[in-house]
Amino acid sequence: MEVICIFELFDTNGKLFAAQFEGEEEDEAGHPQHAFSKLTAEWSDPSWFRAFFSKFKQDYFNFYGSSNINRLVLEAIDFADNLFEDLTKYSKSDELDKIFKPLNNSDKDQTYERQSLKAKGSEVKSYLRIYAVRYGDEFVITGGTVKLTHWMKDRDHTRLEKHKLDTVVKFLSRNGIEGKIVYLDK
Amino acid sequence: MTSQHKSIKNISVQSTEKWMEKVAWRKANKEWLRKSAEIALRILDALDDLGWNKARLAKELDVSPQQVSKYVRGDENFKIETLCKLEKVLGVEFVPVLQSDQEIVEKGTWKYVKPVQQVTKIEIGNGKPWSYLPKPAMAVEDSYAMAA
Repeated sequence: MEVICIFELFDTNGKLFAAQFEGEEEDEAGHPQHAFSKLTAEWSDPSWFRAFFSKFKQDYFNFYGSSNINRLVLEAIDFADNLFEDLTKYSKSDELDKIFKPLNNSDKDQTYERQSLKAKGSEVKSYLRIYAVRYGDEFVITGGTVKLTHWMKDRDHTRLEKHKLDTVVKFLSRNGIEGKIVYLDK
Repeated sequence: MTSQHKSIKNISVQSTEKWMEKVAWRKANKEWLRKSAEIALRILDALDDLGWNKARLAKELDVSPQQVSKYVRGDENFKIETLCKLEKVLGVEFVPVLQSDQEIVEKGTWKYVKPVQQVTKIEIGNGKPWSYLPKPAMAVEDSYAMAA
């Protein structure tokens, strides 16, 4: 998997970006897409969530107890809308570091270059994740998923998201460090 | 500690997708979008029950497969005419219109039904119009009924 392109998301003052990966350049209708547009399309689509929860319902039940699949879908769409609203709010106020937290809990008090990050909802059942990499005061979204297990290595779809994070970290490393001054170690 | 590095802006292209507007639009239209999602899920359930795929539904409705994909994507603002066609073809009811004395009860749930106070009409013969008095002893106890 390779990064094909980095998109600057519209109206984010050059702070929020999204990666485009090889093989994911277009959606099913042939329209161009990147990691974030793919995520917003999937997370507003009941058929996508229905297929996901049908496959991973036992993971959900193990974490949160049994429920009806259609109720899960409607709940997840609500959570996704809330998360995107939060992202909009923090993007407009230039406080993206309030929504993107270190991926590894052991990193929770640290801020460093090319750090892997996650954003999750404020709900008790905060199983939705948006992943990003920090680059100074800029953030590159790499994807997102429904995380229903303790570890990302536990399921293929979460392993893939970790791989995408690592791929973007490598891509940014290859693209040089020069130019503007930023302050790290907040 | 400081570090020098170039902005990602230098190696990126501008996305023209107005995603914040879409987020705001979904928030402003939350109520009907939820109903649209509920209908989409009911359509998918019905397809599973019938053993049909979306192409079969498109054929039955005489619409394109792309149109059926829109129906199950959760942001279709359905016309009543479309819903009636879907109901007929799939054999399900999406939007029951309830009269004032009707209510929906979920399958398998118990509903408490408060008995109506029974009254008996008696003429007391005092020259006044008909009066309505409660029946003295009510044998009917509060009861529970199993909803549909």
